Amino acid sequence: MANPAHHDEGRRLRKIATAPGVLISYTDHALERMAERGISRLDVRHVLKTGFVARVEMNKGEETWNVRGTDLDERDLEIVIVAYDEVIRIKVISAWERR
Amino acid sequence: MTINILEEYEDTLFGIPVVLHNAVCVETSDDGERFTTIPDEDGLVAAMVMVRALNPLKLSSADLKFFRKALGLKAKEFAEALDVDPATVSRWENDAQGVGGYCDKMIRHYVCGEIHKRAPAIDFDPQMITSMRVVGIRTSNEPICVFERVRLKMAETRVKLDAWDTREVAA
Repeated sequence: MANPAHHDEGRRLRKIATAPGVLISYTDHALERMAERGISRLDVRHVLKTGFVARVEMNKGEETWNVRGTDLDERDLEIVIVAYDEVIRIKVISAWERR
Repeated sequence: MTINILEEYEDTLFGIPVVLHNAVCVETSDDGERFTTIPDEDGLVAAMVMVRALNPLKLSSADLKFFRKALGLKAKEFAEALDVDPATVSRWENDAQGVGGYCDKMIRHYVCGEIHKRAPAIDFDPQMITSMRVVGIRTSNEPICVFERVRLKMAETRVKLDAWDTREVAA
C-alpha cells in the first residue's frame, strides 16, 4: 500500500523508472550489498517500476527515497535511491530484503 | 568528479555473467564515492537473453530464472506461458530437476519470440533454435555473453540507434 504522504514522489519514480533510456547508476556499496543479499539488477528494476516511496530524507544535500516493493519471487525489498527527473536517472544507494 | 569509460567490465548481478566492452561509465565524486552506470540496461538484458538462448549449452537453473525475470514474469506466470506445472518451474529453478530436451527448446523459442525485437543487433531466425544441437558440457571457459555498443541504421526506418551487439560467442 502506497504511503499517501509520498504519493508525488511515487508518481515521479514510476515516470522515471519506466522511461525508455533511463540510466540506473549503482554505488559500490549498493553493488556489494546486492551481491551479498542475492538481489539482482532485475529485482531492483522491478521494485523501482512497481514499488512505492515509503520514506524521504535528506542525505549529503540530496533527497533520498526508500522504495519498497516485492520482486518477481515475492521477496519484500527496500531500495534506497536518489532520483533525477531532469536527466531521467536513478542512483541506487543500497538495497536489502525486508524480513 | 572524474568520469571513466571502462575498457572491460564484468558483471554477475543480472543473474548470469556478462562482460561489457567500452561502455560502462564509472563516476568518482570528490568525496571518493563511485557510481557505476550501464547504458541501456533494458536493451542489454534483451541482448543477453537472445545470446544465451541461441547458445547451444543446456539451460541451467540460473538461465531460467534470468529469462523469467527478463520477461517480467512471476514463476506461476512463466509456467502458464510455457504450459507446464508451476511446480516444474520451481524444480527447474531450484536445481531439483533438469530441463529436458523438448522443454529446453520450447523455452528458447518462447523467450526469443517475446524479446528479439528489443535486441536489434542480434540476428535471429527461429530455425536457429529448431536446428540447434543442445550440448550438456561447456567446451570453453570464455563467458557466453560478451557485448559492446554499436550504432545501427535500421533497414526499414533508416533511423540510427545504439544497441548492444556480441563481441564474441563461445559454446
